[in-house]
Amino acid sequence: MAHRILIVDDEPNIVLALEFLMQKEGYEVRIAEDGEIALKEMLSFKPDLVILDVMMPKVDGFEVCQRIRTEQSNSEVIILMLTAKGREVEIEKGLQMGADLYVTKPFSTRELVQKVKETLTQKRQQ
Amino acid sequence: MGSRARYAGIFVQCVVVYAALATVSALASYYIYGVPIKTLVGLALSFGLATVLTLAALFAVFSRKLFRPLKIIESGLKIILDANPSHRLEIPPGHLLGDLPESIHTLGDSYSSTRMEISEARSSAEYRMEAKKSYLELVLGAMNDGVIVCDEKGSIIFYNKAIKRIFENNEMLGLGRSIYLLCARAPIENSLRMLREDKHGENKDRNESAPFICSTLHEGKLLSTRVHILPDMEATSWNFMLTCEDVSRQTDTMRRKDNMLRGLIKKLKPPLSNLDASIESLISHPDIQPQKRTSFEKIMEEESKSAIGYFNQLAHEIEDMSSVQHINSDVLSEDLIACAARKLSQLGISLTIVADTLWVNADSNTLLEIIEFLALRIRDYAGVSALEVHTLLHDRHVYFDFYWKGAPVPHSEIAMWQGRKLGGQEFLTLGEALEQHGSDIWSKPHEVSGYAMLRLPIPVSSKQWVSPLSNLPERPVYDDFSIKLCQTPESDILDTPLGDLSYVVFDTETTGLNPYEGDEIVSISGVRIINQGIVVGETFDQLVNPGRRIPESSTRFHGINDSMVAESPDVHRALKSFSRFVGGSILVGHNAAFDMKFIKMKEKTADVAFKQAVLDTLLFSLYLHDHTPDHTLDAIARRLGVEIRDRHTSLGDSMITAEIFLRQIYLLNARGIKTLGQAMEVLKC
Repeated sequence: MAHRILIVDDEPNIVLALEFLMQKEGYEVRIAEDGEIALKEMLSFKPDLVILDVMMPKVDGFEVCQRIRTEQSNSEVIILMLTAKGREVEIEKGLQMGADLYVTKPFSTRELVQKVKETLTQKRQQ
Repeated sequence: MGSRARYAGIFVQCVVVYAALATVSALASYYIYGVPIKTLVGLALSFGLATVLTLAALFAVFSRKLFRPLKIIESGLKIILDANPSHRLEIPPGHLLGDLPESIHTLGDSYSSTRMEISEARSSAEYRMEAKKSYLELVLGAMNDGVIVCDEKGSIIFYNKAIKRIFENNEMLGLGRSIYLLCARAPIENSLRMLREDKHGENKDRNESAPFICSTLHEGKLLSTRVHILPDMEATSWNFMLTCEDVSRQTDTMRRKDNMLRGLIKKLKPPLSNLDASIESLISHPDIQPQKRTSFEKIMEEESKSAIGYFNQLAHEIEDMSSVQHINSDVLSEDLIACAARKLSQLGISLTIVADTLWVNADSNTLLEIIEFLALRIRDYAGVSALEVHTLLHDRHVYFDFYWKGAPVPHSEIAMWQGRKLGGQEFLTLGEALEQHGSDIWSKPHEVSGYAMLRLPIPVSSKQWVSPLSNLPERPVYDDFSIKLCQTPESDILDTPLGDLSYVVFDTETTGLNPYEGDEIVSISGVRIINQGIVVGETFDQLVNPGRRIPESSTRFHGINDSMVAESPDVHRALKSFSRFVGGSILVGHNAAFDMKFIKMKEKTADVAFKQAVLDTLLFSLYLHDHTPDHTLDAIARRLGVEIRDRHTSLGDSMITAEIFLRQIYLLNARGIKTLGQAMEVLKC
């Protein structure tokens, strides 16, 4: 069964690239442009991995992350956070909020996909 | 006695006049009226007797009731004027002077009270001036900016504690020394020149220069400096003042940041333009050969990675530096939290502190407000009035952890808090304040169930790793405004009055009495005298490693042993240091010849030369007090009323010698020895 990936980011350009690459790898991909849509998709799409951008309007990535972990029953989902600031404090906050991985923009999309693959393979093996 | 003679003279004159009148009227009576002689003689005699007796009686009465009181008044007035204005005239009653004594008393009292008023006014004016002066000294001493006042030639008249801090271990900082020994000359002189020239032009009221950067000669510090010209009271000479701020660290940081930015931007240019070129080529030539296409794609990939690499570097460096630029300072976490706790307890929130001694680098005011703000918000959200704050040290941050009994704060709530303005701030929100410290906050459940926490990371200060310096209380300012401005040039020094010169009174301790047989100096100290006063706070005291064992016998004498000098500099470095401290001042010592023997032996190898005059308090004492054979330091001190303290330590002995020398200057002056030249003559005999 193909893994399901939810990409949550309000920047269309990067989303396009990620979606393309993920689909090429054979994953099922859905996109959410903001946090609220993301939370809804969490319930309906039930992804295995969420790529979550921190800087988003309305509901920011930290909140989405925290709510996924606390409110939703699917707390086994892997959360990979993206951010533009990359500060030590921010990374720690993300991890404390419940993210499993953290990547700073700008990043290599290919490397990101590689990471996703590794993590999902590990999870499958568990 | 003089008045008695006068009165007697008057009395005699009266008698003579009476006799003459009597004779004339007797003769007239006899010849004109034919009165018989016998009657005439009888009449004359009886009248004469009566008159004499009356005159005598009058004389006696006046003498007692008029003349003597007047005499008493005469001497009494002298006493009133010279000695005791409240003196009461000792006039026995029954005098004929009427109210005169009372009037004189009233005059005397009025004179006395006028004198007291004047003296009170003077001393209260002096007291107010003194109080004002002390207050100004405190203010100047507390200033962060350094303040130095110099005379026209650049000799230092005044400097404050901040300057002492800037020139911490520099012996060349001292009253009467030149400022150009400490700072670069050119920028100061240029600014002075511009200000002075302005005086004739349009800007003649301008007394302050624009700020410029002045470098210190030995510490390698950069001072943001302003020059101010200060006319003296008669506007005949133009002293100047420098106000300076040590900006070395900021300048350094700014320079590094500038260089780094410029470097990285330069590195970014090639990859970005290469990227652009390749992309453009591909777009404009969609049917490009596959091989060519592959090459371009490869280029794009490489250059893109390069650009990203440099960009990340740039972002990282800027991040590190920008959190230093704010008005952040080093503050103790426990102090801050304690302060917040006090304020919060007034609002009904109890804050228990479990804190270590952790130093953070933050805008203490803002951080205080953040803590108060968070405590209040947690109380409102969780409904608790008791919080605990723990501080923990992490890699580069100190965590301020708030613990309470209840649920954690969801991020949506925290996001709302970030948009609110902090307590005392008109324009700073929590989010901005956190940003200022490169910080953020988050809340989650505590390990202990039923409890929640909120974490606030704050950058740790480098002070955490540095041991505290001992902060001895010091004079707030160092000044001598009575220094004669524009000191006389070297050639006239022999004619300078002793009181006008600057001296360094010094003393050495040695391993023994024979410099030619291997004895060495183990301690040098000096005390500065300017304008006949010891400058407190400008002393030199240095232990010296003699490069040989210190014999027991000498240790017993001066208390210095081998372990005390193990880490001390050798005599060459010590002498060089001492030479800088002395500068051009005249040296004074007790039996100075002894100390100079040791010093002269090392002059060449230490590359110093003490060419100035050397005065000897022992020789002065022999000259001034040749009536006694006792000229030890103790004896002379006792004779001149100098307190003996710290005897047989180098600095202690220098102090005693300095006090002795100051008194000797007075005694020498009294004996006619007023100038340096004359003093040196005394030393020769």
